[in-house]
Amino acid sequence: MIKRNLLVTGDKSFKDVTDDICEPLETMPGKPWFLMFGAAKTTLLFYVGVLFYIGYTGMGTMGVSHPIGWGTDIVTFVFWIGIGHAGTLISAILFLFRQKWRTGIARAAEAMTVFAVMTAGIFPLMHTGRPWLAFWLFPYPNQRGPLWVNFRSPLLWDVFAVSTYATVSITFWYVGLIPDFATIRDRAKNTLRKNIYGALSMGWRGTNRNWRHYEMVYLLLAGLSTPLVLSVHTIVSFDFAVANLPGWHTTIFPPYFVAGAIFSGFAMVVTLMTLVRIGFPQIKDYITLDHLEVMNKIIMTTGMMVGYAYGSEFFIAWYSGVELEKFAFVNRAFGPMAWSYWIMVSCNVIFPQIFWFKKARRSLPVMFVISIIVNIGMWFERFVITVTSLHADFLPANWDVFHFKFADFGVIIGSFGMFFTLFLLFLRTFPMVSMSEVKPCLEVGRDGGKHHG
Amino acid sequence: MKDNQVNQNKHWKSIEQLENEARFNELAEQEFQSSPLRTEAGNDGVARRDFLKLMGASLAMSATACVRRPVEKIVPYAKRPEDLTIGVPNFYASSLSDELSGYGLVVRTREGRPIKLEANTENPASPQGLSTRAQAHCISLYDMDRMKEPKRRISEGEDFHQRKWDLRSWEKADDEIVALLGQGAPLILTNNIASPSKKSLLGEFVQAFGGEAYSWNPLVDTCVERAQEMSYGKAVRPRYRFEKAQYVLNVGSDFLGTDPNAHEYAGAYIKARKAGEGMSRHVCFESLLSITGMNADDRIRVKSSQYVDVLMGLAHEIVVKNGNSRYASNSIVKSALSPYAGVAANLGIDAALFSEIAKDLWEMRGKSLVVTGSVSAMTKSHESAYIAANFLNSVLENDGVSVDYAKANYTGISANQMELAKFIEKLNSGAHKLAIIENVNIAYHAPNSGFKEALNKFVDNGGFVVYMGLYEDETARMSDLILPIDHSLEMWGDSEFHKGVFSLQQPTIRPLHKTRSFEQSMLNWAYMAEKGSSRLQNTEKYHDYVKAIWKEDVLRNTKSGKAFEDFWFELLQSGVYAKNKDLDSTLPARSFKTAALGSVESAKLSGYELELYVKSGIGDGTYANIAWLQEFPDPVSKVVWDNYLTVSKATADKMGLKEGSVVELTVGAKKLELPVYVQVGQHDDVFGLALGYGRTSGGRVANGVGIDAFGLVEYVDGMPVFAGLSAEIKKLDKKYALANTQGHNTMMGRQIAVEATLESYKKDPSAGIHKHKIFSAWSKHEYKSYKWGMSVDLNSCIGCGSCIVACQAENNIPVVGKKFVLEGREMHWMRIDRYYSGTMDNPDSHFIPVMCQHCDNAPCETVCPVVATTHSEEGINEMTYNRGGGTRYCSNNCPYKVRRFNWFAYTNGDRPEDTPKEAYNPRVTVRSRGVMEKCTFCIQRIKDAKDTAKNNGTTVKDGDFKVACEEGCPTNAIIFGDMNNPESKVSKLFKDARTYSLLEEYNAVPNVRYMSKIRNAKRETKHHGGEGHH
Repeated sequence: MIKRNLLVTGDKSFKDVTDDICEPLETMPGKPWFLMFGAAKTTLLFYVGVLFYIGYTGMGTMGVSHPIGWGTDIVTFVFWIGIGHAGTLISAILFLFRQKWRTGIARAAEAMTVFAVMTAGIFPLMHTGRPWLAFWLFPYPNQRGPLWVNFRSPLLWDVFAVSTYATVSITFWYVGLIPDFATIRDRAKNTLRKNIYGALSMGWRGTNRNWRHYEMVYLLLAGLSTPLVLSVHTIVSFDFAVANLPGWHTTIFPPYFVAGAIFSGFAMVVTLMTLVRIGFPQIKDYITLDHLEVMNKIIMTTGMMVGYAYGSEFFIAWYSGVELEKFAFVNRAFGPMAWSYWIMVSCNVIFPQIFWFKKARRSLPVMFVISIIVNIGMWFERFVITVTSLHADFLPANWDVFHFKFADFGVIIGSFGMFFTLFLLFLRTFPMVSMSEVKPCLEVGRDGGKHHG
Repeated sequence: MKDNQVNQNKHWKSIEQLENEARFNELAEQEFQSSPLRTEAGNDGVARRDFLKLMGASLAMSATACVRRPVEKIVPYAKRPEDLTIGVPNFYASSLSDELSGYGLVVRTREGRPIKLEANTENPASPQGLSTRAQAHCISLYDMDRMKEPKRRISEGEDFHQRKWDLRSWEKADDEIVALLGQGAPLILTNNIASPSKKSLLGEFVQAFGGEAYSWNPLVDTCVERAQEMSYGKAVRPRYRFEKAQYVLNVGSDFLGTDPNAHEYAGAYIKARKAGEGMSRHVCFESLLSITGMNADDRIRVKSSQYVDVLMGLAHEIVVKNGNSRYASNSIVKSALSPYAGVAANLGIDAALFSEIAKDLWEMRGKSLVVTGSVSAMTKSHESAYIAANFLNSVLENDGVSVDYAKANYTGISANQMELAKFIEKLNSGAHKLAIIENVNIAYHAPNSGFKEALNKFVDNGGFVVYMGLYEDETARMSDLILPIDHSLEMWGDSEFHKGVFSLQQPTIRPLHKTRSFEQSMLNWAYMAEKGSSRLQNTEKYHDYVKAIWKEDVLRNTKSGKAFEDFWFELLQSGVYAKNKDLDSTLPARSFKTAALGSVESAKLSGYELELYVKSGIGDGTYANIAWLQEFPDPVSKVVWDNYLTVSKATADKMGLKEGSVVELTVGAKKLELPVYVQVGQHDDVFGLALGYGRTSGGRVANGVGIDAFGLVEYVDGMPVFAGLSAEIKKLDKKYALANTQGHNTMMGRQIAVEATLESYKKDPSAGIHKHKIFSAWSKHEYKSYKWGMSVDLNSCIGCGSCIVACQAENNIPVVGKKFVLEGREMHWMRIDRYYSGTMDNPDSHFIPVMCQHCDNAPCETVCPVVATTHSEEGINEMTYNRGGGTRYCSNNCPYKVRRFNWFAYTNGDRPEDTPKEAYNPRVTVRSRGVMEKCTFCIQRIKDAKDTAKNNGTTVKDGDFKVACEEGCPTNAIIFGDMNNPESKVSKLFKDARTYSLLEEYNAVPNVRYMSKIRNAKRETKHHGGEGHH
């Protein structure tokens, strides 16, 4: 049996773990954090401004037009929802599979999920012509008949899928945080801090009964989250697959979207973790190169899965014999918007191949660059699907190309401002590594190969 | 006793009262001992009560004078006018003379506001459809840039733009003019006059005051009349009978698109184009690509300067080479035709094809028609082309048959190009001190005619210029006094466009501004000056004058008293009076004066030549301020909001030009910088440029749109030359964005606009249509009452786009402006897709109007998350604007992409191009920002028809109503009706073998169905759309 590298390096004791992880919460942030937070918050404020501008002036401020009814907003929505998937996969599926290496990264990845879903949630709202009426998308009792929503519309399924996903993710994340909140509460030296974390920990005492309940709930939530990893992006893909537009109307979309989501999500985790390792050097012992290497392997694997999907789409387009389908795909690769297709293919399929080399897999600069390239590629994948299918469809007289406008860049950049603001706040207020989960993975008390349960 | 006592007990105020009772009492009556109004004589200048009355009245007037309509009143009519029901439109028969075209109108009004113009089906000459411009004419009534009251120049200035103006009352203006009329004879120039009353009035006016009256229009084709005179001895303007022509030879005429009365010709032309036996054949020689050429069965590219050669060459083939017709032995004819022996070879036309055309023409003699002429054909040798065409028509025995020269020929065109030269000459002569220009913008339309110089000289010599028009345009700015005239919807009038067909023009609203028609002004001035006949002097209102003319001149006093009043009442209802209802009979052929052939000259031009043309929307630019017309996609190029230099594909490739490249065009000494539009099908040695753009004083919408090309027009002996101008272009290192509403120009081999040749149609009536085997897992909808459907016959559709404007007017469709068209945000509910097939040099063109297809299995309905778009029980795909959230999923899922989204608030009315709110149809919701919209099948008209039927206890039948596009179509290409009624036209048409559904294989089951286009083409060499798809 090959002996695995240690999941936590640095020969940590339980106290070391607690000290390391609580340190960012218990000290004043340094200049670098404030600089980053300042930048992120400024971008967030810019984002709020852009959203007001769009909401006040009209959707025409963005690149969407006739015939391209969906553009940057929907693309970026799918992008952020996809990002979220890695967190749920790590925390739920890997938990069920008893993958202990997940413990170091699960908390941060889950936080990423929650923030990504929050960021994503704004887009479907803002892309509508009349966002102030978006509540009509929920089936609530009303005096208009009552007038119900259209249960046949994939957009409605989307509303349910995303709202369920957001609820479950937040709950799962929060439940996981409870024992750690109690630890912070116990260490707190001032009353306010004690009260806040005391309230957040919901009276956790660390009793046997507490732990029994906690573990059962955590297991159940992990079980509940697992299908969501598959279902959410499946349903998001239905927005396209159920429509009759050539280029959208394909059965491959659900698995293809899920693979793409995990692909981009892991890339985002790698991006964030490399940054966290720089900002908080003590975390290097918990989020080790081994962790990152595993994720890079997943990135490469899922990258090849989406690559397979790209090829498969072309094959089916040809094999089906449907002229319009064939045209749609040839047009993607060689039409007026082919640039976006080739950005997608090179970023998602070609560049990640560098991870065949162990040296590259374990090189922080390489993985950081690749993870960003992958996310650019995945944004363009959604762009290619959404926009290039719409830009040239059934009747050639309608064809037009997509024109990016200021607000398109505004929402893309701004959404990162929102995400990073939330994530930076998270780093300083919540334990970024799950203390209660990491501690059982330590080698403490296992000296001489004696294994305890 | 008692009296005495009273007297004795009387109290007195003063000694004066006691002593001098009478005088005191008089003073005591006056309330104010000293009045500012008291005159020296001691009496009030204005009596106190009168003063109070005046004050009260002026107070009331000052409070009400500015209020046209009490906008805050909740009940608009406390006492409702008898003939008006709120919410129910009233219709008034009227007519419109849009410069050189005449239309019978029905004006739809709501609560006293005209909101839409429709064709008057009673008019025997043009019963169906209107042109785009006529449809859009309605909103010019509410144009805020119209002149609102008279203006008088108060300061001189070399630069006209620096002249200062002051508002002037009509009374003062009248005084000034009458004084000037007293000093000398006026010089009058008007636009074309089709009105017998106005003609007569102007005649009487000139008789009374002396002077001269001229009639001119910038685009009037005077060569027609001249050539007729030379060919047959009498200057007439013939009416072409396309319905009788089974073979149409068209050399450069745009009779379906931009020529005067194209809407009428289109209807007649389509009558002879019914698929099957007897379908006409249309061969077209032209230089630029026009919609007429696009509809031709065979189209041959020649330059405008070669039109004479083509016509004479064909005459040579028929008369000399083949020795046909009675002119074959005529030596004058032979010698005149002999230079044209080798025309086909010289012009690079396939000689076999040329001979075949000549042969066919001769075979079809007596039932063919040769036409030429349009603005882009007005070369130096334009008159020769007409003579040659006249000769061919005589040779082919068409004269009197398909050429109507006396029955109902055009008598409505009084304008003559030569009259401008005469007017200018008179201005220069110094014999007159008063010039009146009415409704014709010479400064803009004829900058090279010498008008400006003449006017300056005239003013320098103490002349006084009065301009009467709708807008404060380029010419108005050069005048001394500007008098605003009534819009044609505000005034009485009449017209006789076709000989013997008299139409009445009824006002449908009182003048909105302080305007007065030229006609009414003449009556007023004659009355004030006490000059002229009693009819001129003593008729108070122009209405009465028109009535008198009808009684005395039109009816020649055959009806009087009650009989005339009855006649008048009926006339008001029908709007038209045809002296001879039978416009159909054949006339004897006139004898052609062969000497005329001697004057035929052919221009020999080498190198590139420029051809100025007009677009069917903008025309000569007079109505350039109507935003609907600016945003109307040109039927050929589909470009909006601009003019551009059209360059053929081969020439563009040679010069490295693309759509949007900028070139410098040099014509003689003049240079213009212009954007390029690469126009396939255009002759390689020809550039095209549209007139009517580049207004500087046309209103806020018109100003600065495009580039003014009137400066390139040359004048030869007073006649303008629009085409065959030697030109050069140079590519500049600049770019210019042209707003094109169509993305791609070929059908990509898909079954979209299906076309077949007549030969294959005869073998298989559904030739070209590939039927799909369709299987559906779902059961069909049930439609128990009505099921509405629309048939669009592509064989009748000429692609003119009238339907687009009709739909825009009916359904309150906003204008978005060039910037947003560039971004693809135009809002038209229907569009006419134009595809090309075959070679880029001379492609086949295909038109297909596309609006919401109202699918039974509508893809939009299933995907809307909030059920804003639903299926009605009558098969209509309905859009609930209020429920729409604006996800645009419906548009994404629509295979036809017929849905339009309100990306911005286009209906606030805060931009000059916004449709005036008064012009909105109150029956149709005005959509707000963020809402999806699309064709509703004019559901408001359906509802109205159903209500009427219900009240009458019947059901809706064919003919009870028409939808807007159907009504606007001049060729009856669109038929709407109830598919559940087996007797309805649509039901029958849907069973026709030519009928197919667009994208049938997607099984959306549209309720709009198309009928394939049949081309009477002899050769199968060119690709015909639809046949490639299997």
